[in-house]
Amino acid sequence: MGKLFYLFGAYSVAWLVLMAYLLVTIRRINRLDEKITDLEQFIRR
Amino acid sequence: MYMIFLVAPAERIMGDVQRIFYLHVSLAVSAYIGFGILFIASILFLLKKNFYWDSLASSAGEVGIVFSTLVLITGMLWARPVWNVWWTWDPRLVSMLILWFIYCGYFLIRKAVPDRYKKARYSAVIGIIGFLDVPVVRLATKWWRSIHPRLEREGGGLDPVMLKVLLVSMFTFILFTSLIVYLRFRVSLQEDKIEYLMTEMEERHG
Repeated sequence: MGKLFYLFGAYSVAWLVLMAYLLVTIRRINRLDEKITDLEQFIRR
Repeated sequence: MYMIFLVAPAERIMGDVQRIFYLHVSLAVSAYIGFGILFIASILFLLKKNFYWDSLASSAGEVGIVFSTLVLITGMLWARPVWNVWWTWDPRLVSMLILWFIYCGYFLIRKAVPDRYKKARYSAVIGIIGFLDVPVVRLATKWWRSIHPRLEREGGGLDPVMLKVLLVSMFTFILFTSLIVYLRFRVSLQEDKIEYLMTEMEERHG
């Protein structure tokens, strides 16, 4: 049973890292999109 | 996860701990895919001198670094209960660590060189040379005496159910890798666009 918990811990660590990386990337896309829109509006003015 | 924990049988000697193998191998395949894309994109950059390929190379390289870090971590987590040590200087482990250091160097170069073209060219060369270590990692267990498990052994192999679970796990990870490389590449393209817009803004407004 202890070994299964250990194993589950290893899987959780890997998935947490991958999900965090995915979320950070998606957040970066949204932020950069906003920045691009702002810059384009500023240039058009 | 369901297949790994409930469908795949427990290994005879290592027991349940061996189930980390499905994650470890899939992560390694994903890391190789990331570095493979970096390798091809680096060659295309050197041939075509188009920054589009440089952006793709750095995006795929970043994904490769994340996955290879996890390969090393899950490998250590597997080694501790099985070999009784977190790390041993086995050829497969050492060649993987060297690969990790090479691509860390790739990103250090990218940070250190300010000129866009030079940065892309230097990192493309490191990316191409670094990829030569991937077959070494893959074949290390064949070329040298190694305690690292090997999938392809003469006269024996993986249990069919284990193989099926491994293939499903690898397929899932390949899909995830494709998604994350695509998203990370979008970030790189957006950053390029911002750089272009900033230059245009400076020209127009001073």
